[in-house]
Amino acid sequence: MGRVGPTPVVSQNAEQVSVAVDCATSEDDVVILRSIGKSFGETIAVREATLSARAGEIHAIVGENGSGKSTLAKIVAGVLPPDSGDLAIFGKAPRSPRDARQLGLAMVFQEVLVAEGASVLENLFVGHDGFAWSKLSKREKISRANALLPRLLGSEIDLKEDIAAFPLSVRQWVVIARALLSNPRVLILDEATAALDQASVERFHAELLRLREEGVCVIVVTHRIAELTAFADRATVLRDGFNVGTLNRGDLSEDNLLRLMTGETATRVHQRTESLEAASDLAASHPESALLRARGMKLSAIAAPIDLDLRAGEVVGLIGLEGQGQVDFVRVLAGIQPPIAGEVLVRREEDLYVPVRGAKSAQEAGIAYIPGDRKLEGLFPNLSVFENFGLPLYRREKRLGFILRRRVHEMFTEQEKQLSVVHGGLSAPIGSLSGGNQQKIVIGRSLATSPSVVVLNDPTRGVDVSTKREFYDLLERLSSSGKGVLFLSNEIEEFIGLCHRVAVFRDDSVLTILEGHDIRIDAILSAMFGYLDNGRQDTAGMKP
Amino acid sequence: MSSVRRFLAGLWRTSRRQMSLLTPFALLVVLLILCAIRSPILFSGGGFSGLVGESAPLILAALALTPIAIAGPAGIDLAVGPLMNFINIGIVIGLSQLGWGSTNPVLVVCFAIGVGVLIGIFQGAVIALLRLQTVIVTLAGYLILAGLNLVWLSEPSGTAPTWLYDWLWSPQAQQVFSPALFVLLGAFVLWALLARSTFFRNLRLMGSDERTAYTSGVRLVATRIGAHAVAGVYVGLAAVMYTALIGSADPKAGAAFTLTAVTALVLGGASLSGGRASGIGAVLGAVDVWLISYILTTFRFGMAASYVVQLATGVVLVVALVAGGLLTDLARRRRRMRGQTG
Amino acid sequence: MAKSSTPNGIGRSASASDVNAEASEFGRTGLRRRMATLAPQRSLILGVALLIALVVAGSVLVPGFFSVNAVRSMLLSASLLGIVALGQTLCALIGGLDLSIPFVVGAANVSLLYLTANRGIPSGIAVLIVIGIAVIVGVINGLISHRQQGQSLVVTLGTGTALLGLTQIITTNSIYSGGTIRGTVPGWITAIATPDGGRSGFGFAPSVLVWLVIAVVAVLLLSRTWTGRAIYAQGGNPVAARRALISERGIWVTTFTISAVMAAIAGMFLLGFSGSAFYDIGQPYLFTTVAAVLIGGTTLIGGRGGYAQTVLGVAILTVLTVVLVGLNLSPAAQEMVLGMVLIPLVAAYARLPHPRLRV
Repeated sequence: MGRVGPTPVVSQNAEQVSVAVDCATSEDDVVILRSIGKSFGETIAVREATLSARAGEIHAIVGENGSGKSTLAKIVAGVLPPDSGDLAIFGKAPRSPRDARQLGLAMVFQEVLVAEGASVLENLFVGHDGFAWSKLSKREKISRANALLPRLLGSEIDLKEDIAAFPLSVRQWVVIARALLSNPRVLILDEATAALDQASVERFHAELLRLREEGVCVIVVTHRIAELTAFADRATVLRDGFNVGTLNRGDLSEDNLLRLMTGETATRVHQRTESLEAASDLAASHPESALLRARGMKLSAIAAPIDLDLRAGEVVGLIGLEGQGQVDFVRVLAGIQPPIAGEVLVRREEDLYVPVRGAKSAQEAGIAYIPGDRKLEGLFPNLSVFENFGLPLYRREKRLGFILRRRVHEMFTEQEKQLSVVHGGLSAPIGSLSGGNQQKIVIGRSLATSPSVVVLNDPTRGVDVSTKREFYDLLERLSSSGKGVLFLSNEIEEFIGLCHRVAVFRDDSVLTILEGHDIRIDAILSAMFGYLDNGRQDTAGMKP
Repeated sequence: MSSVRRFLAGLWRTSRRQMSLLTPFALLVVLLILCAIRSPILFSGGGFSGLVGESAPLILAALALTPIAIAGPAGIDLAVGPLMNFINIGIVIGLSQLGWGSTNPVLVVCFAIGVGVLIGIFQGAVIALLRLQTVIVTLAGYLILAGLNLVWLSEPSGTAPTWLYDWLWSPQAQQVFSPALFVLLGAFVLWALLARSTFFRNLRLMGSDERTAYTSGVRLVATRIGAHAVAGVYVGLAAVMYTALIGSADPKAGAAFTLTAVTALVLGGASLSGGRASGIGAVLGAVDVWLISYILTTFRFGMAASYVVQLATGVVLVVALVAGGLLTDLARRRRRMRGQTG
Repeated sequence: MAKSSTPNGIGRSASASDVNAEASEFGRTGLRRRMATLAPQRSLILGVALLIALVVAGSVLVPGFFSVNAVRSMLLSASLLGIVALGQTLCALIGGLDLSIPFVVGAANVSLLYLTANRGIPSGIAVLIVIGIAVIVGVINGLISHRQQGQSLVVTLGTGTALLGLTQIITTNSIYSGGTIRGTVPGWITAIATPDGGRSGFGFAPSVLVWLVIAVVAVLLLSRTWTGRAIYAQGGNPVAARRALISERGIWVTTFTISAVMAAIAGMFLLGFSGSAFYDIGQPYLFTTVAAVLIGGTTLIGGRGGYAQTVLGVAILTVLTVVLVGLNLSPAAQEMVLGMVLIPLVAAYARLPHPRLRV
């Protein structure tokens, strides 16, 4: 297979990019990949990827979602065997994670892998022991764990407690600590900061720098380029499975990285430069038109009640540090989860509001819920593209139990056009679609019911940049057509220029709502940590 | 002061984790009280030795099911009954067919355990290497062994070795410290040692989340085969005690025995879908199941006696499942209220 | 985190691309890649090939394989297995298993004779009573299995045992000898399950017609109705199914109830076949239903497969049994062969994905 150039993700305005590229190998290279290829059925995840990383450096692998970076990382870690090409870690090719471990490699995966029902200590030392004998005494394990984990977590922890009792951020740290406790010479981290809050991320960076000093080869796989410009020594950019270039420290700027990642001259993908006019304009054009009302809603026993209105044509963003209630709020609005107290009201007529109880009444009231974790909540892996779209619609489009296929087919064609869904045939398995297109199916089937309120739970997770852009355009279209949009995200940049208001969550309640020009990254960030605009910190009920 | 607090915290933690043992333990207390009322001779030396001897096969079989349940996912060994039968026939008929004779207790026990381990390893290897579901492979094992048993021996016949028979039925054995009790105690000690071993720790981790175990370097295939090997040891022991109990070889009892053993396992709090099971639970569950059938025999049901046991076994199984499910629901709800989703 | 998202489920989070990935992982050539996309059809091709091979073997090894009587009896036993296997198929599609089937078959078999011969209830009403009991059992199975996800196997084992025990207790005080109940079977029931059709004049057992109707209706309903597709959705991703407003409990109850009713129907037909009732007449159906489902290509993971495939599995099993009987193998030996055949078949198209593909 000849060397084919990478196809740009967005074909308009593509330019040839000339940026300093460093592919030279040196003697310090401990990880060498040459022309690695890997496919899954029809999908080619990695093509002709060549990469080298040295001891004592922090080497980032950057790319959009779907660029192949996670697959590449798994190949390096010995989890997936490559279809073609060579891999050498300290000169040897690992054929399993066990092999890799023996070579001195440790990896932290994108999904937080812990064994529930086992203690924190046991989770920290998974795989450390031999088949039937321990390499370390229990006391030694405890002392090593206590030397490391509290420093990473920022607090003490009971090692004997079942890990199931701890939230996701603690588990993420345990997984990172697990990798560190194996004294790796090569450490691979795949989106390891996804589940960490801001304060933890800084501790994480400090730890990475410390490892570099000790001569460890650290490979960081991420799509958050803002983070790595601070500490990465080199960055290799992947696009469509190709290695499109390696940047040295000096050339590591967000612009350069974006250019390589998307193949275009960079305009900030996420940000729009003009923020939206304040909500007051909106109120002027749609008076008295709250589509949705949350009244006295309590998400936990000790939380402050939430009162929030959603007006027609409004886009409200929701954000918070991990576990501060914003996800629960979204689920309550969608009817999936009952609140501890309070209710959700939907406008039926001009002054008539009807309470929503449960997912069914929410859907019938015109509230559409779009999940971000489509693998968990959205898609049916065993069904075709068409059926994944149609299944939730079959419930209404049927007569005497028999499905009205033609009607659903029309809906599909309509949404396919509106959302530019790219697929290989209606009866193709849903797994054959890219993440972005899968998400479009999930969105499309909700929009096909013509909802009046659209509630999105982190919808751009695992979606490539150009699809994200299409998605923001979609939200704008929805709001200008008079729908109300509630949009939860973990990436603050997404809110700028898109949301009329942003509600910041803390302690299972809304701490503050920012409007208009107040919607800035620093303002949102401070609020997430509990600092309100006038410099006062909200200390009520602060969780440790 | 903090060490006292830590001790209490540890106690609280273990009691919460052992919530699943609450049901079988409470049931045990109730059943023992019923026993005291209906049949107090159970609490005599002879009665106790009878309890031990008759429940030993079930207890050992429940222990045999436990490592496979731990190994997950949905780890249920349907072949345990026919396999026990197979070894039983082997002891009574097979050894003499092979020309080895069954007068040497060590030989017989080693033979039983050896066959159990071999077949266990074979099943485990098929499951682990071909990546097939445990229930399907053990179903095939059940069919093959059940059929093989009948082909080998069409009707119950043969006599168990005298020394083995005497373990249960000799006058000297009718006391609290009978040979059967020693066998059980030995099996428990072995289990206690195994449960604390690194191998078991790896097994539990693998059963809880296979991906975590795999990516951290745990040997999945070896661990799974090991679990089936351990199960084979206990099936072998169960076969020995079963041979002592019935004094001959019976090729037909396999199916019902599988059901009873699974009932004991589930009653003991094992969660098949979650890959969680404990040895203590298995033993408690087995004793409970046996006591239920024992108490039922103290009533005069006449011809319908075995059917009543069947009915009771089925009902107990279902009720135990529902009760166990309610407990986990309760625990999960309490955790969510405290704000820890998971 | 919703309960069915735990990674330790029976591989439920495996996606279509995982199946393909596994296939392509072991080979780098284009041929392998193409084979991967044939995976769903693989079981069909293998199944048909196996059936043809067995028919050929039967015609060679078994004298009178194609005789009218042989074909009639094959059709009859296939129809009975086919009716029962429908229930097992539906349960397997949502990731469960119904092990109460053999017990329900036996209980229905005994109860029908008991009601008509010993209690003098008119046969039509007796049939309704038996079906009513089956519905109750099915509902209980569905409700409890739904609550105890992944435990349907054990739950149904329990309810089935209890049901048969109860039935035996009730009927044992009547005319009892050696595990059977004697009495006269109503004529029309005998006619349904007589190989040559008896009084019906069809030339083959009317149960075959019943099976045909059931099969056509089942395939149609599974592919064209909301409930049918909901079953597949439930088996594929229960959380997403809940979001699509599919009643999880409703699906579980429906499938297990249908399973119990089918088992009861087969049990009653069997009464016509044997002329007297046996408690353990349902025992063979314990493994033959699971085998038929598996051989047909419906995995026990859920969401993939269907009844048309099970029909193929039923055909294969029936012909295989005839071949084995023709080779003079005892029922025990037949059981052995079935067990040995099961593994390679399942290994051919129903393997679990390796954890590396689920990371």
